[in-house]
Amino acid sequence: MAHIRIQGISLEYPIYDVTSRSLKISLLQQAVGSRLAKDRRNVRVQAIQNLTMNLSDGDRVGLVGHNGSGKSTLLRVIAGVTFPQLGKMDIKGRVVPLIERGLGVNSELTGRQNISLPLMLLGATGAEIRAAHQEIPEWTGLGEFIDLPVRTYSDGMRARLMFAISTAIHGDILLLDEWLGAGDAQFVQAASERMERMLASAGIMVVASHSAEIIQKFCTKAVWMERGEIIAIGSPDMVMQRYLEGLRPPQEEIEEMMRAESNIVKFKTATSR
Amino acid sequence: MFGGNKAKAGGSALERQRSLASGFSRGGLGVGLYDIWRGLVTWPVWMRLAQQDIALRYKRSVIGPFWISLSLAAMIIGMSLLYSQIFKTDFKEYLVYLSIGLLCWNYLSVMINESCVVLTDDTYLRALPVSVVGLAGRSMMRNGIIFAHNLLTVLVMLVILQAPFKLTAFHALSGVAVYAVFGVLLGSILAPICLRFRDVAQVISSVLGILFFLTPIIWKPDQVGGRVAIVEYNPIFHLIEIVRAPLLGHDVAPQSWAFVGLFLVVSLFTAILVLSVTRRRVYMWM
Repeated sequence: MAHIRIQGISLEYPIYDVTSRSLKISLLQQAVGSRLAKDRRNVRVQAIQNLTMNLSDGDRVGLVGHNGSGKSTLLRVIAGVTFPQLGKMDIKGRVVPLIERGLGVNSELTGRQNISLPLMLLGATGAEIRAAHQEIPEWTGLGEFIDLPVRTYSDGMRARLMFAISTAIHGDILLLDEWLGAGDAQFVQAASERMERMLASAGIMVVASHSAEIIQKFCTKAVWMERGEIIAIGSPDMVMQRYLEGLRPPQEEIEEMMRAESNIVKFKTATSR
Repeated sequence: MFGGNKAKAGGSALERQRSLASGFSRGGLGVGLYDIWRGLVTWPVWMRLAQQDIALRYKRSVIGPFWISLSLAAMIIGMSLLYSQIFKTDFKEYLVYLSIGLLCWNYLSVMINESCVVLTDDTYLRALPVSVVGLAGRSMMRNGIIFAHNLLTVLVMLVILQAPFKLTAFHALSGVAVYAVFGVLLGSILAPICLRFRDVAQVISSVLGILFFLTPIIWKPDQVGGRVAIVEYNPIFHLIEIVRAPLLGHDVAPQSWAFVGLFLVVSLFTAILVLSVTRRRVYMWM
């Protein structure tokens, strides 16, 4: 049983300029005090504001929102890459964060040599890596290319290899920043089968995407985020329609949606574990 | 992944508003220790990363990392020719002394310099919950592999020169073990600091440039009248001694071991402190 319990988290990023990256200048400012301190700009960006999200097995959530709305940050928080300053989190289950594509793949190495490292980084077991070595060369249909350096691959071949590697690991909680595409058209069928197999084995999926089609096809819930807050939540069709219209729902409607989805967005006390 | 993590710490206005005394005592230490634990359990990952680093760096050369060893050997021979003349000592004896000293210095100085860029050059931590200690371990292993190649080259040179060999040489192995532990601790301490303050790396590399001359590598301690302050309180000197003395057939001075032991303990606690304070913020500094 996997679950994600995010309870009232807030996260802000400091934006550093060149001077605050320097120890010398920082120490000088400490020493000289307020006279210089006012020159020091302390810019912060609020990435997530008091966000609550409770997900359990079977939830397929699509995150939409404009760039900088906090979608990717939320995925990184769930993955344990970045940490909120406020709030509580409780995550149970094996998290597979596919946030950056092709991470750990080196173009100087051959396709075969590139199978292990990305999977190891994602936390795959020895058995999973061995299984991947068995099935990836065949599934990708790369033929002799599997033993050539990845830099000699076409874009399509490269995409297929990366897709195959990313989908070779089972996770209770699957985090996707943008959909994993497998490249050329003839592979779409095989790829979507493989993708669905991976989704079926995952308890929870959270995907950040700009594509209405993907969110409507694969998700059971959609969440629209702006400035680190949820401004719409509900069925994928309803949320996507509003999102594509591009109008921020009025406050009463947001509250109404939140009430309707209170099992997801309501702050639960720790005893509910 | 950072199982059941309770969000706290951070240096923001938000956090201060909530609790002034948060940070280190609550949550921070837990995250720091968790990072160390993750670094230890995921050792196969960073072994693999280090091995791949080496394989890629020397991919198109037949002799691989021995290129570095060859240039080290050339440098040793050249310097020995010069300094044995200047110091008016026996060429062979001086060469043995210098080669082992340079071997150790090469590892330690490159290790210190590369510790500074463990996080600034990293791509994995942006998207995966990898541990800082693991990345420091990768940098240590990479330099450990180069150290092993250099060691082999130096040993071959010593055999060719028919340098006297004693069984005490095997005591150098405990020194090598210290180098491994020290490398990981150093990375864990310096990497987050150099990520936050980008000028620290430059300071460290210029200090190292001076230390090379202040440490008995090309000269011997008795040439400056034995154990003077720059020798006695120089951690690099003691770190070199625990490998060099056994290989030269001497016993390691007890004060060297005492100093190294103390140094390791201090490094360990500093590493825990640094990781506890910085671990939650590392992503924001990238």
